[in-house]
Amino acid sequence: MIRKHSEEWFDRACSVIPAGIYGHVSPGSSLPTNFPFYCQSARGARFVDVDGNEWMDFMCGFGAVLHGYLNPRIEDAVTQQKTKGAIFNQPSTQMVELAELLVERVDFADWAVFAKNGSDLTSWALRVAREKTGREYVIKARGSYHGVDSWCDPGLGGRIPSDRSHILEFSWNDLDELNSLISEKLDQVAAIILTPYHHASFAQSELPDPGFWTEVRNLAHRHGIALILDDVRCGGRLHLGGSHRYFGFSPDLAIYSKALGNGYAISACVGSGEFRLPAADVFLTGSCWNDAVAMSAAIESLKISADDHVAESVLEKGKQFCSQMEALARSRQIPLQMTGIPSMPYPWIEGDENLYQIQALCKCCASQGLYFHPHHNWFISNAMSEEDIAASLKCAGVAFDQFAESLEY
Amino acid sequence: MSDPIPGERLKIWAAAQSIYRTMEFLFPDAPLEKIKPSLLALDGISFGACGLLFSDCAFLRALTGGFALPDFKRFLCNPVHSVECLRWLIRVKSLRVFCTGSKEIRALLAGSIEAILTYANLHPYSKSLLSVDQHSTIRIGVVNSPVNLLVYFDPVWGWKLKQDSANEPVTCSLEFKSDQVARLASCGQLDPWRAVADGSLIIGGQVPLAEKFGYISRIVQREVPQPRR
Repeated sequence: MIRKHSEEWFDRACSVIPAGIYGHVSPGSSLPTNFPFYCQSARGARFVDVDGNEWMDFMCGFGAVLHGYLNPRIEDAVTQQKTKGAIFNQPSTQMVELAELLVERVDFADWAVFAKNGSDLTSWALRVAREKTGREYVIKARGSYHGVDSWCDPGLGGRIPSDRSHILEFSWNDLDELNSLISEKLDQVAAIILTPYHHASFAQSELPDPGFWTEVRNLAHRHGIALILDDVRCGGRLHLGGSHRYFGFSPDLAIYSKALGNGYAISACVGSGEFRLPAADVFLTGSCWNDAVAMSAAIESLKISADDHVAESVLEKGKQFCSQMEALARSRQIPLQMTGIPSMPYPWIEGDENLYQIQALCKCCASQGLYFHPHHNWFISNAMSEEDIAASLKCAGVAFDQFAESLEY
Repeated sequence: MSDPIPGERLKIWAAAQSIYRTMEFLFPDAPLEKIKPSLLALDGISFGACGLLFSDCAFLRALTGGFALPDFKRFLCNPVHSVECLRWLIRVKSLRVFCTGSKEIRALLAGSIEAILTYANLHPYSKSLLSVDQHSTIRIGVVNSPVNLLVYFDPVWGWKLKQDSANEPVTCSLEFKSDQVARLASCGQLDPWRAVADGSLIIGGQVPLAEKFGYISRIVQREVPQPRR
């Protein structure tokens, strides 16, 4: 892969942007050395980098795109709204329509609010839980990601001890540890915030054990703790009505973002009736948060999800893709497992705790035009056709051969 | 593990440890006990039991290129030893400018890693960052070169450094493309993000551990004075 222009742009960026590219797509986070730094355009399930290389995309803008890049229905809705404007002094009627749609779609939801990013609303939801309960502590799963705010961000800088003094952690699926935390801080825990399943970076994904969610729900109910579902990453990819339906439980609050606007920045928090008043008392605003364009995109995105049965579709596509990936690897004695949910699988090589092999494998795949991330769960786009999957598997086969050969030397 | 050192003095101790470690790698046959640093209780750092003694302030001035005199009384008590010690220190200081061969690069790199490890063992936040990684190892080296160092955790001494000869699997690795890049990194003159992007620094394995190590190295770079000529 040629990376000349990417490198030139990165060089310019380093002069004016701290670290050149920050966050999870920083070259410093050790993505394969043949990954591009900058994108130029994208359509469907492919994108083109600034050097003109075309990639088969398995990251979907890190989950922000579910229906494919430049989905025609969403782009039409966006174009229409753009002729009227995006940001006004007062909210647009799209805000009401979108809230109505979410309340109708999500079974436990009686209300909805909106912002731009998942972090905006995971942090806000904690405050709503604190307002409702009058308590301070929050419990989360160790290693889970809930955004960029100081109570949870995975970075290292800019922290003071009090940032996390009220955050308690337990290991995913360890109900004894969760019980202990609640007992130790009896009547002091405001919320338990969890993702539908454990999709941490740098680790295999873990599904909830049988009975996990029932017990978490019961514990929260018994102790008057708000159960917050961070459905930012999974939302729309497991079940049309929210990922809690896939696992059969009901949270008190849930946050959606990423796929909600299919690439247009928007996040939503929905909640049950008993959280309506506390929600009204926790200040929430942002100058561009009432963006009518992003809300139009979200409305259309939700309609497509229902019309095209998108959650079932990406789960089925993912299932086919994952089983064939594992078979391809197995035939070359590579113990690859696609962990987690098939619509957003995380690749794991058995015995590769230090990640050298998956890094090398993803580098080989990148040389074949496959954008496979070594440390983050992948995303299956609903724009990915059977032909796209077949072509990707063919390229993966070549890459796996390269990888297997490199292991022999 | 060592007792905590007050924040303001930690940078002095890290700089002294760095110099000593550089010397150890550069002159393995030197009388190292004569130049081994020790931090005096309230103020001052001594190289060797009866060698050079600097006040904290004078040592900082000496490191950063200013004019600084060692303790005169101690100097006169043992002038031969003191002059010898001074010569060693000047050689280490000049290494940052005249370093060329692999042996010198390894010594320079070892010195800069030692400052990071001093923080990993004694700086409260840095120590907390690595508290869950005590079974981990980090290899730091130069591609196709004998410069190959291993960071590991010793339950008695804390984080330590040694020459890596076994080439055993490690939790994460940081490899510099050339001696020149390693020298720049040792002198705090390498932009780590640019270096990773352009392949001058190759990070492999458990990236979060490498990120923690890199973050501590930036704290050290910010706080610990770099020897200047």
